[in-house]
Parts: sequence; structure tokens; C-alpha cells
Amino acid sequence: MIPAGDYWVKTIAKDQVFRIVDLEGNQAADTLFFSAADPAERYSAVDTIREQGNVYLSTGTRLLSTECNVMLEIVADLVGQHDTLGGACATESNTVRYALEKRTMHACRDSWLLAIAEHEDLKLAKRDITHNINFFMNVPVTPEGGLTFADGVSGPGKYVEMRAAMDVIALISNCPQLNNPCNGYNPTPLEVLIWDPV
Amino acid sequence: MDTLVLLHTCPHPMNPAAEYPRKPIGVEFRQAPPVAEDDFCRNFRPENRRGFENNAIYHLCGEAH
Repeated sequence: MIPAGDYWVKTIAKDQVFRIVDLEGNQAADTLFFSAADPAERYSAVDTIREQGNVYLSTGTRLLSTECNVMLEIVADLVGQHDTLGGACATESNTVRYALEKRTMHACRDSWLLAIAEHEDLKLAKRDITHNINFFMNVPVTPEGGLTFADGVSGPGKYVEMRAAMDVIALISNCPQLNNPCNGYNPTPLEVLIWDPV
Repeated sequence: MDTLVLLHTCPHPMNPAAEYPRKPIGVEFRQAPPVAEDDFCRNFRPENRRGFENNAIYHLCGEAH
């Protein structure tokens, strides 16, 4: 269980299946993946989008690394589409998007920085925090090329499931954002399950 | 603020052109006047205005931090 606004980090072994459950609905799971063998190799949104020719992630999507290796493949998805364009909230972007005094509000980037500070063994630094996936988040791209943070497409109990194609470190910020509808203005817990292949 | 710019002119990997698009681009530098209150970019969206307000605070703290 990942409480609302908290982070979670774990290594997932090759061939294991990894499921994230949106327990109460409309909860963004801001997720980073790193190769466990070499964390300098990490999830790449641009390579994933370009190679599949689709800006949204769903069943069949291969999540590619900066070396264009397959990190994980999405094998089940009850939501239908997940965002990888919107990025993660940061105290800095909160000042620009909402108001200067929002700088002190809790944001995903702070949760990730806390995670790497509390897990020095992962050998991750601030500069390793780059492209992410926003599971359960709805960021429609308009015909004009605009992006909006819309109401969630997810619902209670919906999940996304992926199979690891290499040993990966998964780092999730259970998004604490209160200034847009990505968490329905009410951040809630997520559940994470990992199991060995049958 | 002082900004490091890095450009390349390689075509995008999905560019369908059969011939390598070997075309130059121009780069020009000029001294810009200070950003005025009625600046188009500053007033284009509220986000832009708040970005410039962030800059004002940033520059109050000095250039090197």
C-alpha cells in the first residue's frame, strides 16, 4: 500500500509481473523506472512514444529505456490510457501554474528526492529524476496541440499491469497535488502487487 | 537569465524525406531591452507573468547560486 502523498521504491526482477491498483479512483501514480544493473539507463518517454507511434500508454505498450531497450511491457490495463507527457508536479512548476505562494506545497518531485535521499544504495541523484509515467492520469492532447489536466479516466479498483523485461527499480510518487483534478482534489492510497511468473 | 543553448540540425528520426534535408539555419544575437509591463510574452498567459515574477526573485539573490 502506498499512502496518499507518499513514495514507494522497489526492484522488480526480470519476468515478474507488477500491478498498480487505483484503490479509490482518480489517483495519479507518478512513476520512474531505472535499470537495476545500471541506473544511468532509465525510462524514456520520447523513445517510447516515437517507437509505438502513440502518445498514450496502454496494453501492448513497451516501455523503452534511454538505450531503447524494453524495460517493461504493459500486459493488462483496465483504464485504457495513461499519460507520459504531463510530467510530474514540482514546487517550482506549482509557482508558475497556480500561484507563487504554492511553492511550499508537497509535490511529486519532492517525494522522489526524499526517496533517493533515504535510499543511498540506489545511487540515484537529482539529475536522474527525468521522464516519468503518470499512471491513471488523464492529460488529453487537443487537436491544436495543447495539453490539459482533465478529470481522471480511472475509477476505484482499476489497475494497470506490466511484465518486467529486465531487472528494474520502480519509484512511485503517489501524487499529492491539490491544485488540479489529477487526483480528484483528494489524494488517495494506491496498492502495488508484484508476483513471479506462473 | 544567462542561458546555455545547444542546437543541432539533424532531421527528426521520423522525417519521411528520401533526401537528407541538408539545409542551414541562421542564428542571431542582439541586446534585448528590459521586459516591459506591457510585454506580449509576459501578458500572454498568467503562467508567464508568474514566471517573470519568479525571475525577479531569482535575480534578487544574485547570479551565482
